Amino acid sequence: MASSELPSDMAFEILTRTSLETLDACKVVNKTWKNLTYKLGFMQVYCHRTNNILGYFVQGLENNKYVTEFVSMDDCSGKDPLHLPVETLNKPKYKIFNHFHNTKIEASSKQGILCCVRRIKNRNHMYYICKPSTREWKVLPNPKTRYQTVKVALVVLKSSPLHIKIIRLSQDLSPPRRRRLGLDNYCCEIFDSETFAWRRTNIISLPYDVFFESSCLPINASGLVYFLTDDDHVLVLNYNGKEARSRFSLPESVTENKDYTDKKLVEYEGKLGFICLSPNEMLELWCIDNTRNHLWNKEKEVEIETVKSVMKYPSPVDFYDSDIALMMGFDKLVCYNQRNTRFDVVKLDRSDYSEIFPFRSDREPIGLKTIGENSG
Amino acid sequence: MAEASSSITEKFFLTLKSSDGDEFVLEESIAIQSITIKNMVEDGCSSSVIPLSKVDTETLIKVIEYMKMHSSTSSNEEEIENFDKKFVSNSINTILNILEAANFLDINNLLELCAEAVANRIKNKTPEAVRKIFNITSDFTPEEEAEIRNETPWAFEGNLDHSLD
Repeated sequence: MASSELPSDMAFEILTRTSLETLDACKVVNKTWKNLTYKLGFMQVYCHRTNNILGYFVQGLENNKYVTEFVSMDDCSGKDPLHLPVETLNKPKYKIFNHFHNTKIEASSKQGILCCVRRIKNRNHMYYICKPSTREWKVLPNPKTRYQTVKVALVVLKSSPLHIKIIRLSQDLSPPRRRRLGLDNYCCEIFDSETFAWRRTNIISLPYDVFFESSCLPINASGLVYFLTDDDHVLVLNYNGKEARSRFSLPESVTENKDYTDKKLVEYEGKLGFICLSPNEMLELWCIDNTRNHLWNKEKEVEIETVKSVMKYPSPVDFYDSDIALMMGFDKLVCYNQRNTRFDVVKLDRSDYSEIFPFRSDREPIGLKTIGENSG
Repeated sequence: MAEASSSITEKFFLTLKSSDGDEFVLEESIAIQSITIKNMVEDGCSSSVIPLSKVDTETLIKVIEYMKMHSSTSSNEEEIENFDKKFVSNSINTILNILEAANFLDINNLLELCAEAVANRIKNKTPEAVRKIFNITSDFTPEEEAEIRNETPWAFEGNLDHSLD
């Protein structure tokens, strides 16, 4: 047993070399260790040393086809060539599917797994999960695809053997839309890899004039999945698709002023966070501490004026560590260090991406099929 | 080594003193793998004994062993690799002590080797085991701890290792 407590620079040296799962487990060791892992620059050194991946998939529609790009955060200038496995299956060498491919990321995770959907002929869909870093993938049964997908969330419960859950909210759009008592109903289905089947759980109802915020992805934080609705409320589901508590409001000062824009839920240091642009163009970050009072606390108010020299309308996307805010512009991503107001710019290959998926991955195979495995 | 003494380059020796008061004489060319010692030599503090108040005898012996192997021109890559492999099979507490010494003495290769070894050794360990190994007391309330475990269930679902080495 070490004689005295380990200095935090030693903990840094050790933790920046450990596996992704152990890193997450070490967050409960004590406060010093937990804060260390969210500290400015930690993940960059970590990714560099372990060869693990931290970044964002950006996705948009081009000529009615989904295009994705991966932006790596290990250093803001470089991009990691991380392709969706099934995307490359159409290369003649791996000709498994003959049809026109169109792959869309539905949900991402911080454990290396993506949930994707391919649109195939006869307006059919194929759901699958994949691990881009190892090029492994697996086809899943389809959910009720007659209903239109509204939101999809992916939860990785265990990596070896892989145990995942997918939560899908969908809506019957065929007229006449069934409205009962002024409510809009959403069908909630859960895929559990242990039963390898989708299961309809219950109906999620929203008032008929309330919709899920289209630009905000579901956020998986503190063991629950959070969805933003366009009446400035948050819907919370547990991993079984049940409402964990009734819908609750965004911070009062935000809901009372219509001039707040770019509202998004994020995960911040493992907790549920909320980011937005305030009327005076400041980036605000709010968090909920579940162990205390379930109330919103304003964590940060960040001046972003300097970013406007490279980006006319910066839209906040995420905080990828305690101090670096990620902002999206027309064809650029900016990683803005709020401590010293400096930033890095990543130029994207295309413009007008509409979705951005946080992603974190190791390079350990998880025992699924890899591309080209059967092609010899 | 008769031929070595007859060579033109003169050899300098340094005396390193551990926190337990034991003294070790070491060739300067070997000892200056430690940037801390190198700086002392350059500042002219090497004529007398160099006290290493943060390094105990047991640890200093290991560090010197490492420096000798890594500076010796006769040892080839394979030998060094085997030496390193054996070196990190010491108990995790010994490696932690060496790690701290490497940090204090500023020997980057040794620091990397030990940090890597400790990182591998704590892989898939329970947080409780990690705390015991590092002699850390948790400062989280049970509610806070449960909350953090909730944040990343995947890190606690596998077959975790409770052992302390």
